[in-house]
Amino acid sequence: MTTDAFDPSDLLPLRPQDLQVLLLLNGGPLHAYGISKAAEEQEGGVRLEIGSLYRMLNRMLTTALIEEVDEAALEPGHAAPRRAYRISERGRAVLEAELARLRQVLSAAEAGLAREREA
Amino acid sequence: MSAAPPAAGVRLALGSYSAATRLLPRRFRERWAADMCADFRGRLAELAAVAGAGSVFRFWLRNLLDVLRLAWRERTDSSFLPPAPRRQHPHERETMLQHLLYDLRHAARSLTRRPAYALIVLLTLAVGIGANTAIFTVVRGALLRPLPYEQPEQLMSIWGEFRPVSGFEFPVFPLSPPEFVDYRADNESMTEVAAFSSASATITGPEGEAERVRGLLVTPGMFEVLRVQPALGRAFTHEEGTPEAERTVILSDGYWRQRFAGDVDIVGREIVLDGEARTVVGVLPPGFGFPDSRFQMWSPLQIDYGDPGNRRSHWLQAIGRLAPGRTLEQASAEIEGMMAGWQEQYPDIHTGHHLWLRPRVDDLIGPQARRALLVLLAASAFVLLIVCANVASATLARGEERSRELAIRGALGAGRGRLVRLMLLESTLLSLLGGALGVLVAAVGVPALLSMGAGAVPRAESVRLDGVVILFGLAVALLTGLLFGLAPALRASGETAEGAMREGARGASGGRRAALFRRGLVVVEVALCFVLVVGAGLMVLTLQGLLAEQIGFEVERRVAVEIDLPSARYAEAGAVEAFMNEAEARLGALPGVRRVDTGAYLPFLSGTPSWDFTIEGQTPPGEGEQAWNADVQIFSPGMLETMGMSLLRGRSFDERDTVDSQLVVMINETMATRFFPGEDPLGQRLHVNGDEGYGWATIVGVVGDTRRDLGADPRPAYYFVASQGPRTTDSVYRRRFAVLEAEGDPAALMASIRAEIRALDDALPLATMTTLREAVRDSVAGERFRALLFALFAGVALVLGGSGVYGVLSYAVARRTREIGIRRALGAQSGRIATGVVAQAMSLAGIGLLLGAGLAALGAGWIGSLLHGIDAMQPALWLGVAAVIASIAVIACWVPTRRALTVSAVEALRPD
Repeated sequence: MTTDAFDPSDLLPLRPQDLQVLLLLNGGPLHAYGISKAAEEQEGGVRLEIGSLYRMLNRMLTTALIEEVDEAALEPGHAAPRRAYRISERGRAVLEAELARLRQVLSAAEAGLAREREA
Repeated sequence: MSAAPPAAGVRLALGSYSAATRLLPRRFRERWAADMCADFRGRLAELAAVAGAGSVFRFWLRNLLDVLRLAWRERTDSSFLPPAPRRQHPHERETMLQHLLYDLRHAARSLTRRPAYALIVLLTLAVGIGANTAIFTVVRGALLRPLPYEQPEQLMSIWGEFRPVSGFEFPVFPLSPPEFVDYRADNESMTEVAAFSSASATITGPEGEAERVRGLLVTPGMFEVLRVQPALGRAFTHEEGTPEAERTVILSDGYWRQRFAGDVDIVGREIVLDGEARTVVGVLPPGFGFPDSRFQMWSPLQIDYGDPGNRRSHWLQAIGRLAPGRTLEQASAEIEGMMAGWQEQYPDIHTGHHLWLRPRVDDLIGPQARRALLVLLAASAFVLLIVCANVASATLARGEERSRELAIRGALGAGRGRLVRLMLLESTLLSLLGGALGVLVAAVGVPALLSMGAGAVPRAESVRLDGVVILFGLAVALLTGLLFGLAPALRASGETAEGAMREGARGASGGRRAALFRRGLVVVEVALCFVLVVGAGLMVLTLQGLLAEQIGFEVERRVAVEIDLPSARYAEAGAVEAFMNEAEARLGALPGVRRVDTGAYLPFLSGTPSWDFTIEGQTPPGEGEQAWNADVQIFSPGMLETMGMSLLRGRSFDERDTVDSQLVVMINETMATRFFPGEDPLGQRLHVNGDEGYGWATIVGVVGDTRRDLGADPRPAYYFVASQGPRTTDSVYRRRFAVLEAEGDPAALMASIRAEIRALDDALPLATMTTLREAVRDSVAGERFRALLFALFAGVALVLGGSGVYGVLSYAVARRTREIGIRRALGAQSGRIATGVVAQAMSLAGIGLLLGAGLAALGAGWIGSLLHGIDAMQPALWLGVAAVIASIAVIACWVPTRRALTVSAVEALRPD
């Protein structure tokens, strides 16, 4: 894949669930079940039904935000190999761009609120 | 915690989940389905280990719906990327169709988000639409589908009629051969006229066991009238329809395949019918049947057209095909002219006796059956209306819950039209799904209906589910969707944002119009329920009344066996009597059999002929007066005891009554009171008037009345003893019914009875056997069918209507929780509040009941002809039904009122 023409901001804003998954995978590879479990346990997390989760994975693989990893790397000795996923370079770029965007939104909003309070 | 789910449940959950993934688009499925199923299995196992069946069930349902949603999205939405920022504003580009697709998708999603609502509505619709579609299928088959012949509207039946002036009163009567021959020769309205008479026969031969075949004698023109050509061989020639011709036979396709294994060399082959050889000349095409599909063979009806015989002997049915351009009216006018000539020519026969025409289809379905089907169709439509009301109230309640969402959408710029469309799309989607389910219900229900209504559904063979029926089901579904969706949609979309936000989700009763609409629904549901339940009650009372009638003989532990001896081998009366005596002796010796007797005609099992008679010393009726006639029964001596009939006076037959002794007769009570009022009939003599030559028969006994049919008053009847049969008329009674009184269950005897008959004559067909109980019960198959269906509808109506009324009332009360809380906080007594709420509900139920009573009174005239022995106006029934429905209404508002009263004022006043 060539990344020459790639501008991470093309994919912004991210959907909240995509953002959540990218954040989770940023901490290390997970298989599908691990993702949904972690999403559920997170503060303010959401329940991801199996179908919706796979739809998301499918979409994020297609847009190359994530990629598959070798199962063995994740859980050595696991009998039935399952697919696991990690964030891709491109995914990390998009995640950073999204976080930057969110920071901007946040600071703009805070500035606005502060002005209102002063007024 | 509920119990852990059984292993079967887990397997079912896995199986259904895996099946649902098959709905995913292929590419997605191939890549992900296995992973999804594995995940599902893992999570399910984990959950099942720690949680109960309830949680597992919810998990399963949630994920199943999730897969369906996924499949829908993957199939409809290919662009998963967020909209590009430089794209035009969507409204500039979207076409109507895109709007619609978008809304449709939205509707589907919004439904899957509320699976409980969707599921309840779907199931309710499936019941309502299923019932309607099933009944419509029967109505279509019986009333609407044309007869399975070419241009069936041209087919006319020719009947005779006896008016009272003739001395008889028979509105529909067969023709005599001379009448048929004259009409056929003289009419100009028909291209061809044919006569027929049913004639069953016993087939024997090396190709299979001896068996009874349902056969028909037809004049050779029959196949021309019906416009059918044999698929193999040929039709009958004119010569074959004249006496002395060789006897030939044509087989039905079904029988040819069944008995002769579809032998293509059958034409020209000889088969043995009633002991005589007949040549097969043809096989009719598949699907052909006349008079209906049960008939298996046709033989030529042989008539001497030069000298057709006795003009008074009526035993032919006739059918003709109208010539092109001729109408029934023209043909009827022609027949009237013809009859004037016949009356001049044969004044003693054709005074008050003439021929008339009616469309063939009217022979197959009489006004009673037609009426019954339409009443059932109306009943099923009522069920559907109740379904609509239920779904409308559920939709309304849901619409109110959503009013905030809709109001915000409206505020954000969605037009009212778009909002109405959105809600209508939801209801239409639901109703179409419900319709599809309903058609499935009908597909299962129609065969069930037919087996339930065996003998009660006319033209059952043409009843089947087809494209028209499916379209009907879906059309009903669409209409239903509009009906239950439109009002709530209009209402909910009319809400202003301000109003909706202010009102909040609970508390106030949701606007005056909504309240009015809900009240209207209660009234309508109560009224429809009342009508259906009263209708069911009337049908059940009719059936009960019929079954409780005194039939005059015992049915318990009695079984009747039909024995039909072929004339070829049992030509002489002596041989027949010998066989019957031997059969009585053998069957009587069977273990478990108490008594056996035989009779030529049996009530409920065979038609009974009526013979005219004169009484010694009384003046017979004159010209133009009703002739004296009575039903004939011919019994072996002990039959009275075997049938459990009562002997009122005199004696029964016994061994003194032989072919050489004095001719004796017993009469029934009706005959005794009608013809011997105030005198003793015993010892008087009567004479049967068939033809001259029979002796005077002395009345030796009077027996209690028996019925020929439930619901018909007993007719005069006389009984002769079989041994004197040859002296009563010159007929030999080769067809008899042996009646056995068993010690226990008569059904257990059937095999040994068959074996005994076989042992007597192994060329006899398998004897048909019926318990007398079944025979009586089958005679009211129509009433039973109607009562059963009506009761089914009434049950559904009570459940749906009851839950609908309950739902609406309890919802209305629940919405008043805040009001009730405030009133209690202000010091109102709980009892007073409750009385007020219940009184309001009862006034609605009362209006509904009055409306229902009005509807029922209107319908009473319509179903009156289907009732027997009772009037539609049954005060006890009407009041009872009203009480049941009223109690449902009371419970429906009492439960939520109590709940509202236990809510503390603080809780009730808590803001949203």
